[in-house]
Amino acid sequence: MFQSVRTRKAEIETAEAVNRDRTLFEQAWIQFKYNRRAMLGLAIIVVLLLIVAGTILTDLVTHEEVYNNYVVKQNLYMKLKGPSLEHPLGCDEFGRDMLFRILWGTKYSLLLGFCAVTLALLIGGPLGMIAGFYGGKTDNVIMRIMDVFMACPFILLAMAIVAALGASTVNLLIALGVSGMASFSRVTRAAVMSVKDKEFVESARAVGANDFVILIKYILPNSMAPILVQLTLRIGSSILHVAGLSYIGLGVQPPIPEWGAILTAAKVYMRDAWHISVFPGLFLVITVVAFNLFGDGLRDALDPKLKR
Amino acid sequence: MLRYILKRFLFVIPVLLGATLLVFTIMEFTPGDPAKIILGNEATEADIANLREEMGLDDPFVVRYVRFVGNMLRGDLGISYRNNLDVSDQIIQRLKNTMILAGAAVFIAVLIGIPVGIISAIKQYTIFDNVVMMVTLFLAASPVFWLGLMLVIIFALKLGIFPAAGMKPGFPDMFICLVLPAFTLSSNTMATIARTTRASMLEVVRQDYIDTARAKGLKESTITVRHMLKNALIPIVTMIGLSFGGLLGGSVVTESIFAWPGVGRFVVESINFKDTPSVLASVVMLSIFSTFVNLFVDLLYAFVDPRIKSQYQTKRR
Amino acid sequence: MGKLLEIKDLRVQFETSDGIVKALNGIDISLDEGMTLGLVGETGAGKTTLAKSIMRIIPQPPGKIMSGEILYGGSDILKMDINEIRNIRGRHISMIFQDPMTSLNPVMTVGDQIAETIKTHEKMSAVEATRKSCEMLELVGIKADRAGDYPHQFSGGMKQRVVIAIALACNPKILIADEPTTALDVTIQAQVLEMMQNLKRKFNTATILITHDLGVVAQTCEKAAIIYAGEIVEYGTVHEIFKDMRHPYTIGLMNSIPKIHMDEKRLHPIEGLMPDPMALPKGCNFCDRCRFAMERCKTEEPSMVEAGGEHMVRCFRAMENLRGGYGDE
Repeated sequence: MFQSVRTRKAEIETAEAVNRDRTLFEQAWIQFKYNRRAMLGLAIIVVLLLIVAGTILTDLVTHEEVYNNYVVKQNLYMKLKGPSLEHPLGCDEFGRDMLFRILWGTKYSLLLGFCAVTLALLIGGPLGMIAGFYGGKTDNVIMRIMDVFMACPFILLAMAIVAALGASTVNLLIALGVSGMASFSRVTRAAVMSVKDKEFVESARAVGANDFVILIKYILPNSMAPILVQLTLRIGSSILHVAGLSYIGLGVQPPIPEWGAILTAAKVYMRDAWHISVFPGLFLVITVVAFNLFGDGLRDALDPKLKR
Repeated sequence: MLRYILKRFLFVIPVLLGATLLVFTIMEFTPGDPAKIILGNEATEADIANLREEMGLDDPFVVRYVRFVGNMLRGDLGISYRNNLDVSDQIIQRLKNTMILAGAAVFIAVLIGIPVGIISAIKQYTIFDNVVMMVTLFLAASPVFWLGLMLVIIFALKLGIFPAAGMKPGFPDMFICLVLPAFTLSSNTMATIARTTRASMLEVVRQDYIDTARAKGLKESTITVRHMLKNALIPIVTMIGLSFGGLLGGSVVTESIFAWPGVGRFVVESINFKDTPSVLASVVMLSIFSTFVNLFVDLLYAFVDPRIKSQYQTKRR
Repeated sequence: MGKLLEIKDLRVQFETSDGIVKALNGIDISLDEGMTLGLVGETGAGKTTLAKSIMRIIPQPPGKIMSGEILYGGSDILKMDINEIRNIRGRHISMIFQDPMTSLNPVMTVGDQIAETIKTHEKMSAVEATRKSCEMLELVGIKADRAGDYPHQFSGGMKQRVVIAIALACNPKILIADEPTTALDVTIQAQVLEMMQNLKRKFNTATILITHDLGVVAQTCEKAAIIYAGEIVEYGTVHEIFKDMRHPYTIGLMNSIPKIHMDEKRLHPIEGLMPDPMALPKGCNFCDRCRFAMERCKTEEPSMVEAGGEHMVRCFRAMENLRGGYGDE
């Protein structure tokens, strides 16, 4: 969907790269390097990761002093104060500095978003692999079950699961993992099916490798690219899902400053304090944009079928 | 064609059964005793036991599920634990409201997204195109709940043009109440449609048959609509179909923000109350709804792409 | 016999981010009524660009017509406004594209695609246009009842017939056929060519036949122009060109065709590649591949030399018997 902007130089380098017998990922990186949008996305992600590392390090060094004193400690004098030099993004309904809360919230949004898709992949991937590899009845049974999961609207399913297990961070991940597995199983199945009849699989079978070895050593590495692309493309929306469920109150619980959780309060106070709603949302949007750009770039670089 | 539709409907049945079983199982694990919820905190153990007996809650899981399905087939979706009202009555009205909201959102998304995408493609790399690409990039990445808040703050609280929440019946009122939630809900889809339209038009522009059309001496506007758009529509229809699931999910959040009395909000409330019959009924309804939409999208394919139509016809033979 | 189409000093280039591609570098050519002109050259020589320039369907940007005139009936196509040129397209000048697989709109019935041209140019009711399009289908050898079918229901050769029906629907004066048979099976090629010949005779349509197949030119054309790197290097009647070819490139082309009556062990391809159109050499464009090149060829651009009759050659050594030089190999 997002066209990659590649220069002539990139094309030449790519051509050379192919000749020079590099691995798929080295070639992809060369393509990726010349995709300005993707590099912008990567740059934003690096900054976000630096923020995550910075906040974690600060907590380690100061024994969570900063976290306790600035991020969660309430100061009702500053309640709903607008942006000022001292508090550039203003203060929330308990007088806590918004900038601190948003910075500390980065790791929750990023990490949970990433973990949720990874979990979905870890559940859905193997199922899709088995379905695609064995085909026939196995395939039919697994994929019909996945159809059932696909028939329920994603958010509703996740909500129901969280409701059943109780609202907590771990349950949120489980819910998002289970709800998201169906689409990953489809992607994996398609990827596996496209390589399972290739000659190298036949030859592995001919020398007597068993199914497990074939799947892990031959099929998996060769179907990795589309799965990886799907994973990155999903991180953005996964961050949004985490934030969305936290916003409804079914995800990360206060006082943890996850961005969606911050926005829950924002709704109540939107008449008096617009800044609480604006800034966490902006951070969310920029993060998601960054991951989308990165994922698109990765797709253009890795997935030869989607390339022009 | 008719047979294909019929086949699709038959295929829906096991999926729906599975979906209800899934939700039934999930609700089974939800903590809290429905009898206790209905009777309140003051109820005695004996009362609760009586009610459980009466509701058949002590029967084994399978028996209860089969009973539920049997009732559902007769159109009886049960009694709400929350207010002892018939669930189907409550849901029909709410489903109608959700359909109005979702329909309006799709309408807005298509009405704005497709023309914007076309202009963007025709005027590729101009300022208009760049602005559209930027805006849609951000719109597609904006969470519905945040965008809703922003729209409320700007258009309801600061400017006071539209109401912040709620729904009034009647023609102009309903319409005015619908504007903000519909725009909120449509935002992601609109952005995706605009981007898909642009990409797909740019793909089509390079096709040989566009040269053929030009060589015929057709007007540029005729070429754009009859030759480019008609071909570009195929991926756009796919996109609309795919984004519909997300749209229903988004309606849950949108309805919560704008206090729109639809199924989405109903299901959130029902989950919080552990009102199993209501949750089940909502899921069944939403699944049927989205199945219908998917079927409609598939039929739309046949309409925009004759290659698919002839596939159906060969199936019939 | 008046000149129907006259192209004078046409220069077209494409301005891309990587540099300027000089596609056509001063084309002079003319077409008489009812005549068939063969335009021969290898891929990338500028044949399609020339055809598209005449129709004015070069995408602009990146394409840019630098100079020249394309005179049709005395008026310059390049100076016409969009309505005038639209009136020319399809009605006076039609074009058949290279690949029938992609040159039909997949979501319109073939009948509609033919009728569309007719409705655009002739005052006809929808019913009449439909009837006419059915007639056109019959004319190219497709049953009229298939008018309601879509392109994917036809084979490649049938599609090309439909494309020809579209091109001839308004009885144009000039038909430009851009490698009309390249994408088809060999057996179908002959059928389609023969049909084109018959229709051309029937309607007395002047034709520009673009091809890289000299055999096709010998069979179907009266005049031929050999095009190389955006320039015409040799022009004349088919007889002149085949009996008395003078440009080293034409000679090379001819030698690269296998001859059935000669027991040759190998073919004689022209060594090397066409020069990069972004960086054309200073002198003769062909000199790097030419076995007869002299010092002068590298520094000076040759101009067209008359070689008797209508025969024109762009070579300093046009008057020598270069063809003989190949023979002793």
